[in-house]
Amino acid sequence: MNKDFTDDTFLARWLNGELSVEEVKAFEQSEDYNYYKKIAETSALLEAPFFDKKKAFQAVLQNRMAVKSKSAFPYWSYWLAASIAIIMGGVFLFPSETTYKSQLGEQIAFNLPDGSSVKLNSMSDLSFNKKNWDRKRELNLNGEAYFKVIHGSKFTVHTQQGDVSVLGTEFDVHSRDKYFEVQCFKGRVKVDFKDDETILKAGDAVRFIEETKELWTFSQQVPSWTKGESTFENLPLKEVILAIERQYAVRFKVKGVDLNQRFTGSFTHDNLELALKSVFLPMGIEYKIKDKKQILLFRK
Amino acid sequence: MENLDVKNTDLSLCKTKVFEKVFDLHAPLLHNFIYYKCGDSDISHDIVQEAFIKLWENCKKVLLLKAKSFVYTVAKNLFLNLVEHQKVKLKYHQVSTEELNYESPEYLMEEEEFRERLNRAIADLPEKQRVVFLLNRIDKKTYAEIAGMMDVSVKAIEKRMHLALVSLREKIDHI
Repeated sequence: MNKDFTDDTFLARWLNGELSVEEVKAFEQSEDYNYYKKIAETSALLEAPFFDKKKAFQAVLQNRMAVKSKSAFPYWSYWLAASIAIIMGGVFLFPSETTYKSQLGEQIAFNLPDGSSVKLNSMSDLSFNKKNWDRKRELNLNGEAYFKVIHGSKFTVHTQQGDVSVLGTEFDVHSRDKYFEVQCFKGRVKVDFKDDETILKAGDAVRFIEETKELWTFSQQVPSWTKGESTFENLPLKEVILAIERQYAVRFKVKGVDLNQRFTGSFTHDNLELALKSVFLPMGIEYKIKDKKQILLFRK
Repeated sequence: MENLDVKNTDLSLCKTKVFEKVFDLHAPLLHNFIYYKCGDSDISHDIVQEAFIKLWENCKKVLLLKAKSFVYTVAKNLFLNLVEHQKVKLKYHQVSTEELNYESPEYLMEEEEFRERLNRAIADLPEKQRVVFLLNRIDKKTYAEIAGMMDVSVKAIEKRMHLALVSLREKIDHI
């Protein structure tokens, strides 16, 4: 106990204005007084995160309806409201599967049988078994997809690289060839890659480039590619080039450019010239658009 | 929604209007309460929802007067059962005070730095002290009200508050 204090509730009573005049006077003389005053004043300026009463109540109402028809999920599954975006490589084909496939430069959106919504980025496919959905909530993804999972729903997205399990959420998965990336926008997801298991919270992302794991955090609310733009955080240039190829249906030819250097930034989806400029100009790389949509990249 | 007299025990929680009133009355503070424990707004949202869903499921059995303590008890249990206890960094939005605009840049920088140090020190407080401190500072709850929420005596709350201030002071070595 500090010598300044007569008992172990002294500061609490000071803050509440319950001390006697003499006690206050003595306290104001002490060298620590200014610290406590400053802590008290500054902490009064703090704010709690915003709680949207209306929205929260609506969510409870909806669940209340669901409760009436006795939910098929254990109560902990209510936790699982999140959105995920996954990118993965490799397709598994099973009979009687429903498959959605996007072409070069195309994005498609659809709903899963449980009402969760999915957006597929270009050159991606997603398949699942509609008939057996209630028994087997599993999806296979090749490419990049953004999942907005309905509250209380649960499923697993398989990719050739690894698996992503919904712990309630919005997430983006990207998996192609040797590239596997998952960004969690809301709630929680579990990412299994070989023997590695990662739990992502909102704002967390993980990727495996040739089996090297990288974790980072981000602040967007939804993946930028759903808003007509692709954004990258410290990504090897070769992956960025592949993304431009998929978006604009173009091919690159590269001369004397290090494709392992990292790029941070974004490109737009509706103007090739502008997209090229915003990626290659800051990196000091020259480009030339040839006919048949072939683009030559070279060093100055 | 007219004034809802909580002493009117005839009101049934199973009526949506009554239920909503109870939600409006208690959900925001319950959310903050859980948030101060774990520093994760998603978790606190989910716990508030879950607690009120439980209240609805039991609306026939729970008296209106007991609704508050019911949701707090459920929320506290959910927190204990479900949250992996990990150290999460608390984030706070600072209210910008207008008069600060007239201060010198140096002063503003020092002020900003102090706020950051205070934030870190608060995040490092033991959970119980942090909850008491923030319920008092942010939600302006009295020690008696906090004691009610945490099921301990007012004296115990005062001790936690005192200890919280002492440890914040220790962590902040200069102003």
